[in-house]
Amino acid sequence: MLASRGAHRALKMKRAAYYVCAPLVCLALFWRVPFTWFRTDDFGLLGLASTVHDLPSLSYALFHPVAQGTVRVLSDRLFYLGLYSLFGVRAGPFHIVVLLTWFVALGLAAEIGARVIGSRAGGLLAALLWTVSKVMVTPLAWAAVYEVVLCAFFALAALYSRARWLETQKRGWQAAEWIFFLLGFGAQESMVMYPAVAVLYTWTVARKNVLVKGERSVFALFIPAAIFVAIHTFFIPKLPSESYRIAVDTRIPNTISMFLRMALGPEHYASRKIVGPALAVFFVWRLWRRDWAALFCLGWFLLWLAPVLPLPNHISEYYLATPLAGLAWLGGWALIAAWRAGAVARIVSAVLLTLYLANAIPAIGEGTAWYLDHTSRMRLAFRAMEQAGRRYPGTIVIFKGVDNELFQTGFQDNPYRLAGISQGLLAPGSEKGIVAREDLGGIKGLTVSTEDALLAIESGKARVLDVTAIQPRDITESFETVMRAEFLGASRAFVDVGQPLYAPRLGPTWYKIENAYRWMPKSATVELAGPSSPGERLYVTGYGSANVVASGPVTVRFRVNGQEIGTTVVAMPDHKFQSDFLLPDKLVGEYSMGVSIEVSKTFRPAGDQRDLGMIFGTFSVH
Amino acid sequence: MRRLTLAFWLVLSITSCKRSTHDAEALVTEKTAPLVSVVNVNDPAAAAQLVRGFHALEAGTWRWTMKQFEVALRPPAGAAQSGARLNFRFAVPEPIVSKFGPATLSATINGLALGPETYQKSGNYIYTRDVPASALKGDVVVVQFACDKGIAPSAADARELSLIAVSVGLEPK
Repeated sequence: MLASRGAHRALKMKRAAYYVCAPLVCLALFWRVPFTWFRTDDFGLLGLASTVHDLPSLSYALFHPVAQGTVRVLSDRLFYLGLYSLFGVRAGPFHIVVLLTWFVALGLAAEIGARVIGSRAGGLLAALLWTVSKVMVTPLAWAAVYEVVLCAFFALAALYSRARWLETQKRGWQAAEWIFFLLGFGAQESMVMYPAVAVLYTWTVARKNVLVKGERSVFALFIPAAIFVAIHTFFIPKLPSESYRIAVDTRIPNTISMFLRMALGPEHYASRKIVGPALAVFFVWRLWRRDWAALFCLGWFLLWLAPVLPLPNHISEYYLATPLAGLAWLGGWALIAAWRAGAVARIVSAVLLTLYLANAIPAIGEGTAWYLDHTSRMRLAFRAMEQAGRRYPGTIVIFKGVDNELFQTGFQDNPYRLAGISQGLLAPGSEKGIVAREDLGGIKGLTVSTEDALLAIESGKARVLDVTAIQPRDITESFETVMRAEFLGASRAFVDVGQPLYAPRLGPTWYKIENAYRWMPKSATVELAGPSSPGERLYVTGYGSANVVASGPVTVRFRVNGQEIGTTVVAMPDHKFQSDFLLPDKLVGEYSMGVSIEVSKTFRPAGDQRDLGMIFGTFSVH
Repeated sequence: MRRLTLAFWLVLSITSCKRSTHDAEALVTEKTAPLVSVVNVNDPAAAAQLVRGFHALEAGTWRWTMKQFEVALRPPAGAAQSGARLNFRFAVPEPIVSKFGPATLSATINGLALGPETYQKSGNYIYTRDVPASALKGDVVVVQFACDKGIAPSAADARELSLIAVSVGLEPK
């Protein structure tokens, strides 16, 4: 009895080890993933929660098609709505859910692999090969592509249920297949390929004739797939996009070849040129031996890839996540076959495996480090935005030091409302060198002129964060000083006395700004740049208040560097006036000139201690 | 199962809470430090004075500039009466001269154009110009530099690269 219990326990341990092995290797290689933060599309999906206020808006958030007509209720909508509601803008939980899903998928891949290869060790090897791939960097490190991991899970769970149903004939497994299959549509549209995969498995691996009564039920799976395709094709509007333009043409073979090469590793992989042909030789050998399960491996690869093959402008490595399992099964099978074939085959396969791992493992390290580094900068910038938003509710944030790399990590994906700030803008001029995506609105909505930036800062509506260094800094005060100097240096031929920005150009006698104008007393001065060419004039605008002209017209005399250039008479009450005067040629090229203004009379309103002369607006030279 | 659930929540807590503690210090509010007259491009305290056109610090000492770049400087004491001297220490990189020929650098300070200078060979240089007192009024002036040669952004490097800047300063005459 005790011995039996011990044996049972050992069996359980062995079974647990079987399923834990691949996840542990995955964790060892992808250890940075739980610490990686959000980027680009994540912010749009995180923002979904802010659109939900009641049942209709929840329904809209869950089921409204976006972008290319995708309605990924489980992998996009519920995933982000649920985890954001629980944890806020914290990436850790998202990555943990992705990893857990992946671990279950690895276990299922090992089980399917064991059936395809006819060896449990082979199944485990296949699961290990699947996870030790650079292809998995993006699906695991970027939460926004959770759909590929979840789709892999649903596809494998449905297929495993089919395998168990075929083995046991228990109806529960058949029901499970249908449930996983139908749920898969909430993960990714590629799920429409599952019925074909199920037929292929039933025929090549389970070795059942799908045309005989009792096995024909597999074809029923095509019905929901066809309905889904019809709805997606005819009823869901899609935004026109060059990247996602469908092209069924002669480029498809080339696209397959590109995906196949990417599956074996990047261009610089030495292993690609050796492992690829070796796998092809093994595949042909198995077919020659009429082992049709090999056809299932290749079929799995091609069928899951099929939906993205007509997208020649959007070839992304992460599309390979699910298809890659097919090559992994073939690889695991080849290793087991080599192990059984004798010493020479073992040595050759060990060399090939070592070669593959020597390329794949560093590439995974580099890939995950890239995600961690890039998203860490974004995380710090985001947290700085959050703090600015808390200290200055509703503030605009102007970012200094955003380079193209940081910009591409999410500045165009509206992370601002999530951080509690009203708007994010790039510091004037810093947009140079940044490549913005036009389909997301380009750079236009993120730029601001020096003048507008200064006005926003001066009115307390904006803060400036420097994100050049790792530690973001609030540099609002020094930035304001520098921008003001820059602004004044750049606009030397113009002064608007009603704008505080131009105050350094005004003499000491001007009164305070009132309604975007200023009163002057008997006399006042303004500093402007000299004319840049002969014939240029001084243009002046102002306002003739009724009180000023009540006792008769007022003569205003203008002098430049002490020399009179003209006079104007203001006689119309409550009317704007405008005058211009030719500037002496001798002033051409002068860095600065002092314009003095003197009125013929002033008045003192009741209850006001000031002697008021005239209201002025702008002075300009051109 | 209970242990598994506990472990799941523990890992979730660690990964979510650890970040929030660290990120609590994400934003440092810079005290309004006085601007300096001489900006070394590797001085973090003076980074705010590198207005635009500078790339990230390299080797802890220098920065690539774009073709146009700007620096804000505090005029030295007495500059508003007697003027000052602008010194820009930089290098013309070899790829610029070999690909595009001699490079001409010009500058304006507070809108006042300073004379251009052409550099026939790569190497280290100092661009020096006297600046009249009239252009140095106020607490801060902005110097705008423009070099006529630069490497355009490419797929390999998205940055526009022109000169290698080391320091810019206004020094008393």
